[in-house]
Amino acid sequence: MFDFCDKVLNYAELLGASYADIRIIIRDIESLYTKNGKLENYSINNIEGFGVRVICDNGWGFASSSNLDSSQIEKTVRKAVSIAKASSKVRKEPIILSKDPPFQDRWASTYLIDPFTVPFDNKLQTLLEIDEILRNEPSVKIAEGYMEFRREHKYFASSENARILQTTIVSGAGYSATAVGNEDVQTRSYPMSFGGQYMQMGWELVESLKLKENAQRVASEAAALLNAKEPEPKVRDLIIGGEQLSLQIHESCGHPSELDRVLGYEENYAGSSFITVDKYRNLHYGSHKVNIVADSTLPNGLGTFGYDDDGVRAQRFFVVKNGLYQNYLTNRELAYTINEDRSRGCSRADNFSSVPIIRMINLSLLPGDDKFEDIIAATEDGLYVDGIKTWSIDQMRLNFQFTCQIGYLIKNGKMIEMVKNPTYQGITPNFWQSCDMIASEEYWKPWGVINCGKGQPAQVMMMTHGAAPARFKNVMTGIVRH
Amino acid sequence: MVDQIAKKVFELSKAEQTEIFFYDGVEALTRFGQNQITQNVESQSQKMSIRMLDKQKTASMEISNFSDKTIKNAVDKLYQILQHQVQDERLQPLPEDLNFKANDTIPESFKKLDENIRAEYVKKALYILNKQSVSGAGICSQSKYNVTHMTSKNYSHTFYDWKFAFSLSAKNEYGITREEFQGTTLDNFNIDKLANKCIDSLNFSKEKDRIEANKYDIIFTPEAFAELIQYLFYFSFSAKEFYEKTSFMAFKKGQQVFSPLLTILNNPHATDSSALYYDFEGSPTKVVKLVDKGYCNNLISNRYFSKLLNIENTGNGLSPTTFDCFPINPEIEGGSRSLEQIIQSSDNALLINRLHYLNIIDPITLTVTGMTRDGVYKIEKGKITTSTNNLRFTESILTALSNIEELSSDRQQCEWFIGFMKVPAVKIKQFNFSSATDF
Repeated sequence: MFDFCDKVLNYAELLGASYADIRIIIRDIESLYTKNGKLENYSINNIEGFGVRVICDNGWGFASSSNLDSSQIEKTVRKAVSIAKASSKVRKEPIILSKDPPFQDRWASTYLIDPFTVPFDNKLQTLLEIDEILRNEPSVKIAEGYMEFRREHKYFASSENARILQTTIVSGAGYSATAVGNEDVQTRSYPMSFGGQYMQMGWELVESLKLKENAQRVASEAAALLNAKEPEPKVRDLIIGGEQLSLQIHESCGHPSELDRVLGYEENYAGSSFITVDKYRNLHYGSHKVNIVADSTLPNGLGTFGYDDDGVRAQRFFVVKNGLYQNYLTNRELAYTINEDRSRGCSRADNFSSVPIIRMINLSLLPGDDKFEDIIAATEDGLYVDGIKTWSIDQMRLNFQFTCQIGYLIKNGKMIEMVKNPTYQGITPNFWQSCDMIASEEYWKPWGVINCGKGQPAQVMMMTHGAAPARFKNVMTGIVRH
Repeated sequence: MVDQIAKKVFELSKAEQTEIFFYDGVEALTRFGQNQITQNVESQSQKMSIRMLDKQKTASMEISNFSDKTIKNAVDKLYQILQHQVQDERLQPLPEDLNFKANDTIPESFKKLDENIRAEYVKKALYILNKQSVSGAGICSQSKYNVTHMTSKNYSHTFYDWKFAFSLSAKNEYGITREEFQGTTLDNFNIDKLANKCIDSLNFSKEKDRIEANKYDIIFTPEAFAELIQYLFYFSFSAKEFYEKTSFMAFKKGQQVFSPLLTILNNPHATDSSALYYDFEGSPTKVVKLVDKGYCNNLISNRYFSKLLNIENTGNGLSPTTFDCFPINPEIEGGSRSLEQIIQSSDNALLINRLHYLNIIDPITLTVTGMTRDGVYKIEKGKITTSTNNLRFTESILTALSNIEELSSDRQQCEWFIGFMKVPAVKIKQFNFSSATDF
């Protein structure tokens, strides 16, 4: 494959590119979806192709083809160069790439059991057994199960002599129980919403998730939610479980930390960021308890790699340290705009056909010192919430409102009543500044996100957020209806 | 080429029935921010999904390499996989005996588009904005694709889709606004008009009034209304959701649920591009009145659910492997006066230019939350007077649509996942806002 890469890079140079890189991706995906005792969908995807990115006359160009035949090289590179020349007509600032060194290396994610060697029957049987348990609960009318396995070979080569091959295996599994009745619909999922837990692991992930062991509880919770009330709107102390907190980190810390958003490159679509350059390293983002780390070396994380799509080596750095905002997520193109000469390695594309843009890597809230039980016990009037249901946040990433799958009212240190559609809202820095307790390492878990959308054309990226439950003081909870 | 590939697949397949979906598309997009082009891409892709059906078992596989060897390996592997599948009595035979190609007469103005013309449009928009000390960000995009559906039973249907879009955000010290053009031809595209409209809107932002969360009478532009109403289409009219009782239609079908001013069609044949005459199960697509003067009388269906519920198959099966159905090219009928006239006749209301990051809290009441963005304006005594801060809304779409006061006569094409939605502006009374921002 690197011969193919060399041909592409040589041709790009011949056409006048001052920089060029190529990514070849060969990806296999196997996915199963069961619903109410049936295999609703089973598919295998074998996709391959290459994308070429060039700088020419101080403009960027990118073109891709799903055909890896060498006859496609000339056409695709010509298009990338032509696009770069068109871009240069509306370009004011010079393109200055950071001085990250090129690497020649191989990297592979780790796994114990190759999921593609596990017989289909084992996979289906696992999901159908869970399905049966879920539907034993009479009000559960929709039982859904998911499994997905991905294997990807990615070749990266650049005109600066980088040559990198990375191989990744990702596995994921989960299910949901939807109870229907009383003109209401309530869903509980396990281990996470939207397809379950995903990690860079093999079949051993599925075996470790205790899927069957939790099915009865999940079905019962979905059924019980049909008879639960919504919490009345009021200001309370809020305790957020790890799954929901992973989303909170993602939306209110991850996205506003992307330097392309900060600089206005996403203004027309996803929006910008409240962490403007004047606030860089000058913002009390959260309380002193809040430490958030970006880490593309996190074992088994979905945002873990050897090198990003600029060829920059994986790294770990603080985004928030003791409550103070520390670092943006950057790539080689934009690092210089904040006077940094090295990228923080956050350049990622979701496929060969997508151009790399700044994306979150794994981003985690570090654990605190508290036992979860002690956090509940220390709460007089509160609400515990978990399970991702609905999320919304404004284009500056300030005003957010989230609704979870399940909640429990807390009175005098005890969970007393289950509530449905538990909703909370806030303004990002005020919210994180109100964080006064974080559970300790024994409660900390990695939570895989597989549906992070960004960019135009739209790209969907995966990353992991580690979190333990945490408490936030005086948060507006419940749905406000005037 | 597709014919030859399909022939190979069908010859090699040992299954009773085999079908392919062949996707061939190009998507190009120029992105700009901070007054310069920041990203400029084109991707060409071809992919084919093969599905086999044998003894009430099915399996599918997608490939993007069409060499003889890859096709043979894929067909052999898929047949092996098929043997391990479970029988499903819901599976129905593949369509047969048709040869149909939809309209592919792409307008000349669209055919000429390329990266150089896109860059010229961007340059011109930025020139107009920058002259007024306004900075610009946005996209100029073009896409074109076709999907050919063929079966081993002599069925062939090709569907074409092409789209052009220019979206412009304009920002100065007073605020930000956004205007968009989306269509299948550039004949009505006027970059000067679009940029100047942004500048006019920003002039209203010089004066800003702070407002708090409350209930307000509001006027949504067509773009904002499209963002809200898409949740009605995603969650409500499918026969599947009706059957599973996860939609309000399960409890209110046949009743007047909305304002009598509201009539909505599912019109698969509405536009020149993306007109869909057969769905992806091979059934003819039909025009369906989803809402008739506020009454919700009809569902959209596919082969499986029409049989199960004993209702007409409306040809809305868009995925042959998930038993799901969605509206195609929904159209909301307009009213008798223009948006401008509705504004002029409003004493006290908010004009909302765009919505942002909507999400559903309850699929039955269609309670959604989301934000306003890119311009909220006060209307007082028939005139836009000032802009305001942004607001978060948490509101039931059922309630909002029953509170419609007026729909505009002018309608806009707004992108929908297949084709477009045709949407007017709308005036809604007492819309619930749950919190406010400082910007």
